[in-house]
Amino acid sequence: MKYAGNRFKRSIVKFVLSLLGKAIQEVSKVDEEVKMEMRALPEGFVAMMKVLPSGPSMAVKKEGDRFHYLGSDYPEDKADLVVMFKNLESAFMVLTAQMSTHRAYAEHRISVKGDLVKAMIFTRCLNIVQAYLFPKFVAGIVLKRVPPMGGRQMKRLKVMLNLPFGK
Amino acid sequence: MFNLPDYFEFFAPVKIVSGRKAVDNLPYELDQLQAKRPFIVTDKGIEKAGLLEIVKKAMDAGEMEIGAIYDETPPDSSIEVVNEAAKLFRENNCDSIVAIGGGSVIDTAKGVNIVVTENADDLSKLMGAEVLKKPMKPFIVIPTTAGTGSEVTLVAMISNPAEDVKMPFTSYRLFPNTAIIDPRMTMTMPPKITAATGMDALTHAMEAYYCNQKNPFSDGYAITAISMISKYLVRAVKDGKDEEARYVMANAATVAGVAFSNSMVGVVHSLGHAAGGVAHIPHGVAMAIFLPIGLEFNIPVAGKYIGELLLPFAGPEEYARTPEEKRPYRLIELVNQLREELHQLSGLPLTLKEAGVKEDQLEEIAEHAINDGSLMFNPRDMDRKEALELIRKAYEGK
Ligand SMILES: NC(=O)c1ccc[n+]([C@@H]2O[C@H](COP(=O)([O-])OP(=O)(O)OC[C@H]3O[C@@H](n4cnc5c(N)ncnc54)[C@H](O)[C@@H]3O)[C@@H](O)[C@H]2O)c1
Ligand SMILES: [Fe+2]
Repeated sequence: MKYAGNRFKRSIVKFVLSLLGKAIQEVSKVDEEVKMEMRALPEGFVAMMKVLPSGPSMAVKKEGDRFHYLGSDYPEDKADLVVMFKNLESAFMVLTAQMSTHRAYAEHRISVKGDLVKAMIFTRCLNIVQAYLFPKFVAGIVLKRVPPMGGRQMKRLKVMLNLPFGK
Repeated sequence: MFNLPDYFEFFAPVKIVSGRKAVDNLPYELDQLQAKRPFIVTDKGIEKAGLLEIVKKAMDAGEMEIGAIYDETPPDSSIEVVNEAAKLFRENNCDSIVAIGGGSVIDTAKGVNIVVTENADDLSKLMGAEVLKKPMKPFIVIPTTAGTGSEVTLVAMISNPAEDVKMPFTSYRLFPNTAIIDPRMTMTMPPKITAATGMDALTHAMEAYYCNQKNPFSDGYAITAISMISKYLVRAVKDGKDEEARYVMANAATVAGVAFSNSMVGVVHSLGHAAGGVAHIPHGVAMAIFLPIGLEFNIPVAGKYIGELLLPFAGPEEYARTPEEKRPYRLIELVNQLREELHQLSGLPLTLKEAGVKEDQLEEIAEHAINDGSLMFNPRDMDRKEALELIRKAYEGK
């Protein structure tokens, strides 16, 4: 990469993607709503988020009633659902909470490979995870509706404490 | 007045050939696309109405051979139907596709185009939004309903009966090359189908005007379509032989198609697709039932845009007479009047109950509705509980 700015953005995007992957894993251990949403996904289902043309990426796999983080170099053709950012800049805006996922879909910044129904379910899980990760005022930008966090604060603490240790 | 979005895309690549005896241009248009052996997709109802004959005659005059005809398309196409038709396409060495029918036929033809182009044996392996890459076969659409606008859209709704859901395929590759709009082709539509499909077109235009990807281009198309439909839909239902009304409605549906193909549709379609998938009610009927409910649901976040629709729908006097904050509510009142009139004229059902939906299906419909992709483009989010409330309202009619 010739441009330092791109190198910087790429490393941020890579970092946030891995954080998100770990967070999905940790939140799925404790959050009932995520567990409920996950029931509609088949066992072994792999969801991936990727920046075109060649990464960074992250993938998670459904194992029982939780997600397992698969790291940042899972092969794309083995994933069941791939949510793709069309370019680095779009990924950067969404992953640094400057733009909502809904908005990114609306602006054609994201394309999806796989079953769109499952993409909707995965997006709802992501929304909940983001509410764990971000303070409320940021979550308000990122989400059309912030899931209520009252009663989830202890779980949130647990997720935050476990994050550095996810794979 | 002008709220330009920060960023948008607009794409309307379909050539429109519209007017009296337009179908007679089919051989010429095929030749322009270097097609020699078209594969025709249609259904039994179209054939019975004599519409296939019109096309055959035009092909004969143009000295062009038809490669094969698939006329088994059921209401709401499915993955199996697509796979079966694709097989027929290959066995007969066809090189292009002509769809003659309503949304079910057009979407089946889109599915066939994906399968034969990607050389796959099964459509379900090619799901997703914007993932198809190969250039498609030449593809011409002759719509016979004035509703779906599928002749100009990048969407194909194809059902997966195993899971009771309708799966959307969206890709820029799904656009037909040419749409031929000929008033002869919609003249035979029975009143109830005319009413239902017309309400589908109206819903496309209205949703396009308030959904997330709205932009100045799609706005123009949406407003034009709404004023055409509000003036002519009732006429086309009252008298199917009213050529002017048929012609305006056929074009209006296409114009609305361009609008929503770019700005997308929202919660009315999420609910409608779900009701269609679970209870198998026709798409247009579902639109007629859910339109006022979806408009009302969106007022808190998009009331301004919904109010603006009063102008094309009811005209300048009504618009000027109604205070700004009352406009969205007045619009809903008038949409309800239109539905009532269509009900009187054609028996169009106005509630899910009348449409034959069972009360024990409502929860399943709600579950499907929140998983429908079009919810992504609706300005207001809808959760399970809200979906169920709206569906109950649609069941009882308040
Ligand atoms: N791809 C898109 O952009 C899009 C948009 C909206 C809806 N759809 C889909 O379109 C389908 C519904 O399509 P539709 O509403 O056009 O109905 P349809 O194609 O299912 O047709 C309904 C019935 O009307 C008959 N018919 C159609 N034209 C006729 C004519 N001129 N004379 C006599 N009979 C005629 C048909 O034989 C059929 O029995 C649904 O599957 C829906 O999901 C797709
Ligand atoms: Fe529709």
